Amino acid sequence: MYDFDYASPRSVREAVSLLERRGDDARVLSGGTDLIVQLREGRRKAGLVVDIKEIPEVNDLSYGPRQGLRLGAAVPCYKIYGNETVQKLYPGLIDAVSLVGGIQIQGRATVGGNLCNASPAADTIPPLIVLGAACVIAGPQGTRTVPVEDFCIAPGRTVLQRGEFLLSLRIPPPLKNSGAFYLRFIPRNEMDIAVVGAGASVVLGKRRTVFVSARVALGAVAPTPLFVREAGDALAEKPVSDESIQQAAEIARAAARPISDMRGTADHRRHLVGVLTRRALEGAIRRAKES
Amino acid sequence: MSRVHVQARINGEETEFLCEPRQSLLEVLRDVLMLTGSKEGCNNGNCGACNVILDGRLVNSCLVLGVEAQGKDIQTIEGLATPDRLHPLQQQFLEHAALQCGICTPGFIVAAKALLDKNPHPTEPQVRHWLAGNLCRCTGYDKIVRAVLSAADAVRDGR
Amino acid sequence: MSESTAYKVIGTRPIRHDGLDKVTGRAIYGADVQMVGLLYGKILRSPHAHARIRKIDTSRALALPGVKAVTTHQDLPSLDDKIADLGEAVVNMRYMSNNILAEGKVLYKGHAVAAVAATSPHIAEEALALIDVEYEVLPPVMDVLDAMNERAPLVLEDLKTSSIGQKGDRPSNVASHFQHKLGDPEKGFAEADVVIDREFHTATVHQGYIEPHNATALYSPDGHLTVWCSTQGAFAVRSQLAEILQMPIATVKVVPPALGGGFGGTMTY
Repeated sequence: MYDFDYASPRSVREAVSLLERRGDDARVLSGGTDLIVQLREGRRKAGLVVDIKEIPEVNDLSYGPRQGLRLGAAVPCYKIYGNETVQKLYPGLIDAVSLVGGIQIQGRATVGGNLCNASPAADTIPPLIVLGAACVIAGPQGTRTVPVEDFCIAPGRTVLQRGEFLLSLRIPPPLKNSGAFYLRFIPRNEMDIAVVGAGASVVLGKRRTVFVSARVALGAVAPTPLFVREAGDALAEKPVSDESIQQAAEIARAAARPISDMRGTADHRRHLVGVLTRRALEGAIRRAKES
Repeated sequence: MSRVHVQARINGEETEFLCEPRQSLLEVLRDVLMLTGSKEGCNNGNCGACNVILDGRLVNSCLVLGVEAQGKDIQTIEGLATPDRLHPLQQQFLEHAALQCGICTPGFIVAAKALLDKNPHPTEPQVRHWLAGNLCRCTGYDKIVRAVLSAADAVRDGR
Repeated sequence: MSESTAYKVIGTRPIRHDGLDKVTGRAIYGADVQMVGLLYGKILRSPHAHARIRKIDTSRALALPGVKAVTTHQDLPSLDDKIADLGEAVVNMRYMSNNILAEGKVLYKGHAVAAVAATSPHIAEEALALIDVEYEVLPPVMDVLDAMNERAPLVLEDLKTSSIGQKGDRPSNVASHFQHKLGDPEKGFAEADVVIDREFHTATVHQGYIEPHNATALYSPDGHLTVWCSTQGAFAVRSQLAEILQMPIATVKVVPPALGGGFGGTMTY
């Protein structure tokens, strides 16, 4: 591995100043489960590694009924699935954080890091998109907010500019009669990367027989995690039925732009999108009915 | 290539070392502190042979920088047994023949220790799920799972 | 079953003799061998499947602080086409030596071209990027069936097919033609009710042991070499080392430490 400097700033201002000064030469370290491997294998270069874990804001994990969930960028998976509020209010997020890597990875890996690594197959991004999460980005000009679906722009690339880093995620409080669900297809039971991932969220009417709104997002079928707005929109005001779910699944299948690689063929992935979208919607509906 | 001074508690001992930022915790343990019980298998987070417990959490030490250990508490395979007695996990791995070549064994035992610390009475599916991040190519896992379940019983019975 | 208690081992659950060291992390595997002044090696590998090496310039790598040596095939003794019986296999020593460090040509992507020894593995890795190799890229042969075609590019330009003790008259990519024959197969096929003729392809596979390959060597000015090496065949490694380095076998000692799996895949080095 090439030599690099290491800094562990204690404040947002200090981190921003380091990142601004060093530009592309600096890399942000959170859980390190992607970055350290990439540096070791020469897939990314860094002259400076900025460990953000000593900054209080990135370790925030708190909930308020009006602001919703504040999830610091450096909160590791195990803390998220070990948090009772998240378990109760955001089971769709729990689905994803409890299947990233194995226990060892979950002890370090963070949702913020999963997002910034910008893999098309990242498990936590589809559920964040369907939950309507927003990225709070710190930078030289203060903070700005970007919806999660707009954060990744290409494999491994995000909207982050020089001097910026992801501070936290904000997830709105769950609405009444709503539910979210994420699942993926992998050939093993554990420790694998999604062939396809699908997340869905739904808001149902008072009697829970009609969709008020829905969101669908897919992983590993496009250069970035894919928000399929039209699949969710098609469900609005439709009855909760197999037929409407199937229609949305078809729209998602048509929106997928998968490639063939070592994990699966494009055809297989398109097929999986249909199946997984349906199952994700069914899971979300079940949770909405239980809520 | 300046080295950084790091202080950490390793297997209960206050320890100081110098390391380069690019050295992983695994390299520091093995090459600087001569604690070679933690093994390098894949060096990318797949095999679990390098598992250590960092502030109570199971991690792959190949995916932690040595400099990140500052102020942390680290348990490695070398810290499990006392001079008089093996840890029940070590004893049960022996009695259940849960190892052959042994290169994955320190990682499995450390991972299982982290499980029992958190959940002293795991079910078999819980053990299998917890150990999914550890690879063994000789024994086929079944004996390992039995050894862990048996060690849990041994801890409960005060053996 | 009462007699079973009469046996010392049968019916008992003996504990592995190396078990205690392995469950405590005390067992010494190849990579655990430590010594004062240890240098770390890294290998530069070919990015091409088939290429002629025109020039290797190691000067920039050697100038990097911490780098103690850079070797290429030039540093190995030149070997004839000596066929050596090394226990597990009969090998051509020149081919084996050229596989350790390529001479003249690289024959596959990943073929070792140069090796660096430095004071840390990271410095050795940095030095690899400072070795300048000039390649003349040649058309590769990527498939066994293509390789058998008469017009296929020749991988080893002097290799002639050996078939039941006979050498072919011109160079070919086919090293050996094996024939296993009993009775009259033509007649058998002609008389058979059903003849099934199929072609099967499989991927290249290798054993999946957890321990990476490794070796630690100590060379003394008195000409003695000791190598700690994760191997299933310490004596084969010793014979090969002695042949490749052209050292008397009595001066080479190979110590196999605890082995992190192998399943046949670490039979030699």
